[in-house]
Parts: sequence; structure tokens; C-alpha cells
Amino acid sequence: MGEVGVPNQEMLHGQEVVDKTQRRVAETLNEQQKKISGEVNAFAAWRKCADTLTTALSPQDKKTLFARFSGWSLKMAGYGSALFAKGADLVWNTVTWPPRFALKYIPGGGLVGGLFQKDIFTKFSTLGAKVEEGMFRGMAGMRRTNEAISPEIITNRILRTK
Amino acid sequence: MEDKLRAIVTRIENSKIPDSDKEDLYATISTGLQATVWPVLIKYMPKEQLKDLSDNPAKVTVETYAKLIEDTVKDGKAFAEVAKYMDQVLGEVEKVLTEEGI
Repeated sequence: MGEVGVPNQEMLHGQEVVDKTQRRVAETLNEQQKKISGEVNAFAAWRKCADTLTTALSPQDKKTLFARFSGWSLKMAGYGSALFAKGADLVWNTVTWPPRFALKYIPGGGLVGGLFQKDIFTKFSTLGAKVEEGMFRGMAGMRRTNEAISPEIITNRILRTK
Repeated sequence: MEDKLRAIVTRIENSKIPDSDKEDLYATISTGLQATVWPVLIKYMPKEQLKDLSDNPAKVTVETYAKLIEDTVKDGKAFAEVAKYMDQVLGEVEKVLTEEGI
């Protein structure tokens, strides 16, 4: 039996895998960002529009927007790949779900301006984990009750986090 | 992409690392995938339309905003690029898992 408070091999390995994955994902996003540079002004313009919209959204507006994006998801699926529909879900989430929306606003940074800088990404990742907490709290709850969690359930949660 | 993601989740689930670390990995993957979306969409946004809305906040409505997004993706190029970047993110995660014997 391991000593209380002393991390075992699996715990150390788990943290190493998490750290390495976060670092490599951040590096990948950094590389991608270099290819999409020069869009800072466009990002600022979009952010202004999105701010205006989210401030003004009424419950009815949310329903209307959801309906528009639902139809759009189906249309995208018509391109022959489920990814398009999933991608539309991601877009829907980032546009309309306030906590996720807030994720995009790193103080002093902003998505294009700072998200892909490694140090900012670390903050983003931590913040992201907090925002995702609700999603994973449910999963952890299921773990505690020994309810089966299939890869399908987790995959769907990653793709459809609302 | 979904098959690739499911395979990654299966590998993580079958590993012996603690559940809290598995959840951190899922959060990293989730935020990593989402981080690919907006920069690409902004690249493909019709710039005149975007500027007009940005300069005239009163014009920003559900309809005009939805049109902006729809026009951004209507030819499928933006989503093809998002798909490519998402695939790169998942590819990197796969590599780490392999390197770490997961």
C-alpha cells in the first residue's frame, strides 16, 4: 500500500502526460496561428460585433439564433462529413454560450493577439479546464457511482459541450 | 475526425493514469479543438460585411450576425481548413500518447 500523500507511479506519469499534451497542443496551435496571421483587425471587428450581439440577446433571440444555427448544421452535414455538423456545434457554442464566450477574452490578450502565445495558452488551458468543469463534473459523478462511461459518451461531450 | 477522437478517448480510458488526469486531457483536447475554429472563420469572413457591422453596432442583429457566419462558411472552404487544423491537434495528441506508452 502506498504512503498517504506520496504520489505513485501512475500519478506521476499521468501528470507528465497532461503537461506534455498541453505543451504540444499549444505548440501546434502556435504553428497554425503563424499561418493565419494578419487578422488582428478583423478579429477586433468580429469581437465588437459579437459583444454587441451577446449584450443584446433576448431569450427569444437565443431561440432564433439557435434555430438558424441548427439549420446551418444540417446544411453543413450535407457536404458529406459529420465534422461539418460538429464544427457548427462548436461554432454555436463559442458564439452563444456566455462562459465559453468569455473564454475568448483573456485580459490584455484576445484570441488572435494572445491565445496562441505559449504562456497565455497555459492560462487559457487552466481557465478552459475550469469552464469545462461542469461538463466533467458530470462525468466524474458517473465515475463515482460506477456508471459506465463509454468512449462514445466522452467523445460526444468533447464535441458537444454546452 | 470523430473516429480519430474516439480512438484517442479509448486509449486514454484504457490507461492507468488517474481519472483527474484523464479529465484534464479531455479538457485540453476540447479547448484545443475549439481554439482552431475562430481564427479560421475570421480569416474567411467577408471583410466589407464585417467592417460595416463593426462600424454600425445598431446593424448587429441575430439576422445580420447569422448571415455573416453563413456567408463565411457557405462554400465549405473555412470548414475544410478547420478540419485540417483539428486533425493536426488530434495528431499531436496521438503522438504524445504513443510516446508515453498509452
